[in-house]
Amino acid sequence: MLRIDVPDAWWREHGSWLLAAHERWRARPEKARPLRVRCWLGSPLAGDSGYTPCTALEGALQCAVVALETGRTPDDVYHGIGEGYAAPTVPIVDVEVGGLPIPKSSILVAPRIAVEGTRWRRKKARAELLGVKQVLIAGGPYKSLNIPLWTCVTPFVDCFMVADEERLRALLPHVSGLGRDAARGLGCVLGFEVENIDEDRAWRVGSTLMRPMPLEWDGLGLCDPSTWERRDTGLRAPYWHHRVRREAAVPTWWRWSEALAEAA
Amino acid sequence: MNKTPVHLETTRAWLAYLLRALWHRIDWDAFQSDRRRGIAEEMSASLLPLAVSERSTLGWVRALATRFEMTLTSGDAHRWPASAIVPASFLPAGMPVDDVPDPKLEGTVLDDVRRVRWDVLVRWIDFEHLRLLVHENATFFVTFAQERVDGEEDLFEQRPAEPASKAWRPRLPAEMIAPRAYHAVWTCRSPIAHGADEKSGNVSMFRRQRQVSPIDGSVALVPFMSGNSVRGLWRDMLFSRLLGLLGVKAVDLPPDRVQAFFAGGSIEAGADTQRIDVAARRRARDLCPPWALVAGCIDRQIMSGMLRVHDVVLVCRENAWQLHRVMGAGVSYEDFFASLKPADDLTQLRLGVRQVHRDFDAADGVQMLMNTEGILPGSQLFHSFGVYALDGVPSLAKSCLSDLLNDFRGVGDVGAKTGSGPGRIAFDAYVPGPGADALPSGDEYVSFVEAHREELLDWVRKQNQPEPPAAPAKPGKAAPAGKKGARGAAAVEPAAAPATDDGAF
Repeated sequence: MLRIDVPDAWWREHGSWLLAAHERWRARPEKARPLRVRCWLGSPLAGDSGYTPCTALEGALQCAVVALETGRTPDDVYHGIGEGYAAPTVPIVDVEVGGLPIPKSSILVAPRIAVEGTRWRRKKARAELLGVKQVLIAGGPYKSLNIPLWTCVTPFVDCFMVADEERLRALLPHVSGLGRDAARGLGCVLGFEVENIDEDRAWRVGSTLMRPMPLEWDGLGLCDPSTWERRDTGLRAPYWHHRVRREAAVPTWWRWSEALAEAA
Repeated sequence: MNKTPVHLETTRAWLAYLLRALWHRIDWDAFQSDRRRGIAEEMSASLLPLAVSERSTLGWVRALATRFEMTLTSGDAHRWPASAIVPASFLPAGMPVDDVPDPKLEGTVLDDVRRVRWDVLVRWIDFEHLRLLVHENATFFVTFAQERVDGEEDLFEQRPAEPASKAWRPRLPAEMIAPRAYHAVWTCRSPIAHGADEKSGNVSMFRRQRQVSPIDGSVALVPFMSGNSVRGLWRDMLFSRLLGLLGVKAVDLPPDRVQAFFAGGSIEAGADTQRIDVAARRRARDLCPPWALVAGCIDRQIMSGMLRVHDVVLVCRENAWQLHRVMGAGVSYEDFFASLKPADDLTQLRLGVRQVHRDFDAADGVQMLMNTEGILPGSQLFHSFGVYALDGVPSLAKSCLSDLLNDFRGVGDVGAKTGSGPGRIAFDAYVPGPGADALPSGDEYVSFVEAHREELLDWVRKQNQPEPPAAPAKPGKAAPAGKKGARGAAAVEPAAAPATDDGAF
């Protein structure tokens, strides 16, 4: 389990469940195998383009582990950790590359029929309830909002991984949403199909890079440069965490094109 | 007529040239000068509402011609029925066309363009394509119709329809591991309105989103209600109910509390970063079950709620693939699909009038006509929600949720304009899906509020609150002296060396 700069006080309170979760949810080497997890979606998936083109499954699995082990939300549990990093273990195999454990898990890949969309997220101040004479809703603390979010409109997305299938299957019922704004309807999961596949497709399929990878990774030379770019990004969930951010190779695509599908 | 599948981009070109033909058939003398000046804007705003209110391309053209005084047939004013002059390269074999005489050289015809009558083009323009295109940008077509520019053919891509070898292979969900959720089917007792993302003149359209079918890969615009809107409604109900139980009014509370309760609060500068107030977070979540469910930003703490409210899905053909598993048990997918109507057959425009009472001396303003698109009464909507980590959620929060659902079922209002008729729904209690337990009764929540009334009142009024910890000092600086409750420099944990546990990877 990766632990970086975790304050002692926080670890004293949370270390025991994290270690227990590690034992309960880590990928057992003898049970790990290449899988394709198909996530059927009932609503568009909001992207996290700052980190990965679409988003990834590992973060949602981490949230499920936190919930199952503590009964609390990740923001409650991780308040107080400051800038430290101590994400819970999930049943996906980690392999160390460039000094950082990288999950054997691809980005969420949309089929070629997927299209782009926009979801406007609205927030409205209830001015009549505020008990003040005048309320400014164009700015300040009571500002009403209408914010556009980029979305991927698709009936399903696929995630390729090497994972402990039994433990993964036990965790998936606790993942009800993927991506941003899952509490407000986006990325609603209808269900998961887990399928054994012959080939490990987590990091590379043919010459297509399948997830953000450190530049030190040997396999990068086999990847078509048109499928990735070099930029600052997270390398494991939570992808926003600066402790796991590096300059890395990041896929520039989010759905299979004809060419990529043929390469795959 | 031998029609082959047509690519959306081809339809875009046909529609643009058709609209140009119709534009030139407008009887401008029929309009007063004010309306004449704004006709392009009016047409831009009306293309989409007309596409929604009509059921075919033919109906759409009829409605457009009626509204904008267009003459489609030949007669005194025109020698020909309305016809589009279209580049020959955009026209497929089999489409009936006429040659266009060369105006400069009598007796010859132009090679690169053909004349196509409006009724021919209408038969070739797929109505689903038309709806998608005017939804994407109606102004484009009106601008194109107004004026010809050199090289305008390049505005359109020419793509052949997808060959059968690359056609999408139908897929349907099979045996799935489903997340734990609760669902209900709402039946509309009156039209349901839910505002679209953009304005369309005096028509309030129903909100739609693009959806992709896993059966044939087609894209459709399907009405839906966002989970965010239902969550907002439930948030209002949760806190109205709480304040009612406590016997206080929102207007008597501190405005930032009201903003947090009814709109999720405001993220002020430094919220959640300067001050880590674990006690305040736990107090909010443990003392106030409604807050645990929907949360937001309170006392400078950004918190996530436990409730996952999903979008409301119209029970229609376009959504058959995702509803079959839950609503079509024992029925084949084909039969279930056939039993449903297309989404656009389930909406209608409803005319509203704002009268000016000129018989009153003080009357001002103008009479106004407006249309609101609503889901037809009798239609059904499927709704579901989940609770974050159902196993770990305290029973008190679940009891509060149960109380909310009873309240919601009793009120039975959703969407916009509920004050004037629309928005009435009826539904049976939410049903737990696979793996989810039935929710407990709401009694536990009501009893809890009674038992903790004084404590809750203090919290909602921000009275007798524990002093929040001070912001931690920046590295290298001492904590400000004499500040109450300051953890100061001591609050900054010493940085440990990077550490990993053995055997983790």
